[in-house]
Amino acid sequence: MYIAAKMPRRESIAIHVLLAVLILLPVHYYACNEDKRDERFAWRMFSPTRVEKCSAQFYVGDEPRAIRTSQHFHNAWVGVAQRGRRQVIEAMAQALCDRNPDTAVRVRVQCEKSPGVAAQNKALLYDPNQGESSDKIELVSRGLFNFCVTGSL
Amino acid sequence: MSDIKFPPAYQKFWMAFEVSTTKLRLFRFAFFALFAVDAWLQIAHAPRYGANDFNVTHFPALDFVFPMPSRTMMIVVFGAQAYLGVRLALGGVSRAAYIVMAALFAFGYYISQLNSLQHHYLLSIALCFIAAFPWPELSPPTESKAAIPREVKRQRQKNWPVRMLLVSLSVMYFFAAVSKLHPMWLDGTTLKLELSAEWMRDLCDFIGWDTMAYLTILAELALMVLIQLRRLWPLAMAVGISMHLAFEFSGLEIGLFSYFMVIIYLLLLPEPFLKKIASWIVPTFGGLSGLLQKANDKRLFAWLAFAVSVAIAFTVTQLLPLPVGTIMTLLLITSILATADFLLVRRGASAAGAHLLATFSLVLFLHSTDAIRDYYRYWGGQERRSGNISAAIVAYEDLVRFEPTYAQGHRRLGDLYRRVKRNDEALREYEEGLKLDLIDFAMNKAAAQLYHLKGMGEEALACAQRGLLIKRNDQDLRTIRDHWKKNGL
Repeated sequence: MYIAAKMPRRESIAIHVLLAVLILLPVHYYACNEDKRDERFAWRMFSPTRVEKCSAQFYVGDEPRAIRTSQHFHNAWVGVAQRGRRQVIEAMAQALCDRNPDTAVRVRVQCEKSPGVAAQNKALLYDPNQGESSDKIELVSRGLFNFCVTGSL
Repeated sequence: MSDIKFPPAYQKFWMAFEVSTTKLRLFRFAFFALFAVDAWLQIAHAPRYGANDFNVTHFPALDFVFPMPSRTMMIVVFGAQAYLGVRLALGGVSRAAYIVMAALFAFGYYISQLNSLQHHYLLSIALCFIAAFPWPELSPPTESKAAIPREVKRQRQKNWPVRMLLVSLSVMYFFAAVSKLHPMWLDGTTLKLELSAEWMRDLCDFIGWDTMAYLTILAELALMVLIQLRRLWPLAMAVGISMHLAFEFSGLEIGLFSYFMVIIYLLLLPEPFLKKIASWIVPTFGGLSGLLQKANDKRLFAWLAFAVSVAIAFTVTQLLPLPVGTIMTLLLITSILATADFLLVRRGASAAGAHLLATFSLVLFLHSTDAIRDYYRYWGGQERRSGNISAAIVAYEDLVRFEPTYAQGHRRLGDLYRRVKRNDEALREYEEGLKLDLIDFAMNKAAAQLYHLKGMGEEALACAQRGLLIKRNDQDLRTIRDHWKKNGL
């Protein structure tokens, strides 16, 4: 026996608000998220982006060599940065600015243009002489600007 | 409040969803038992939170709301989640317990992007719906036959959160399929990069990598629809469970995601099958349930049982291989949760038993797995890499105190002592380590060097020779061996 069950106003509002949140979060990724490597909340399981490798190099002061990130941040954060997640890389750079006042912090982020292209030659991702994107590697950051002044990649 | 008019079929979809109490109980037991295991496993990762005073929350606004996480805070959060997981699996708790669990999990997840596991995001959503589920104890069935139609209608209206959980899975499957509409996925390249299990690679070679890529998209789109159509639930279970188990055994690093998905599929089990299970369980455990009910009804006994359980739990918790401050904080929180639930639900004897079981399970898990070893190892390792040698020594001292049979713990501690010139203590650790693992090259070499420095020839020679059995060409060990041999040993 089917008994008609009407949708009360309170339940109706709850259902549709929740539904909107469920759908809008992944839609946000496709519609307006500038960082396509940040796939949180987008249900992009096993996506090609997930397996692309990136490098995040930080230069503090006049040092010609990038710092060893694992000395300054937990390895887990280094792993997130190597996926190219902009929000985390910017927070890492900002933390270095805060820890080294009146010192320039330059950031270089390079990512594979498609998964696996740097698999044979990982040095491509860490090439400090690469000033612009190539056919294999994308320069994600704007170049070696002082992050503490620009405040963004 | 007037109702909003939607098409009848749409209203029926949400408001006339039927789910039996047996199914809900089975789902709850399996889901929260696995949840507790997941929380236990997270304890090992607590040291990464707040390390080097760095953290990024999931949403920028949360940076101003949430405190900087710390490893102690996260142990307490994960420990409390594990405790509540067992309590919820056993049932009989208040709705407040479900809400606290959802809030606690959301806090533990959204506080840091360190945890970006997809299944934890799914859990944070699922727990919100589960907190509103029509749990049998919280929605007592009506006894009046005259009132059945209205009550049935009301009961069905309360089932929409169950439907909402299934809808969230459909949304997930849809976007998972959309994300795969990419040339690198469609030609099988991404699959080749992600799959590591030999059997799966062989299967893909046989079927074709691109075919497998298309089949995955097809399965996800099919599941999006199938799980909403009751008549097709058996097919949905067959496709969904097979797909998630295949993911699980394909060498993908996805935590317990597949197992959680399989458990959610329990909600699609056919009712006749569940009735059979219930007909077996009720006679088996019905007596126990009756006894508990009688005990619960005796108020004085219930209070006494609960007080005794709190006292025993206090004693048992002291066995946790954690610092005293952490134990006391965890104990305080679990005791508050237990007492609040006891006062809200008034099932004294049941609450006492559940409180004890949840506490025992936490202690047993941490003693019988590598979680605590990993916790101290990860903590000490990070401090070492950051150059905080004194903090790393504290971590490894705790590690060998709680896990004295872990040889590598002694080696790491010995190495750290050497770095700060505490050579006697270093040598003592290497000796302890070698008692457990006599053929460890690094420990033999380090011990040989220290014995050599102290002028203890016989010991230095013995360690050097053992080391050379493993690496014949090690120049340092050869020098030590030759030195003592020349000296007549």
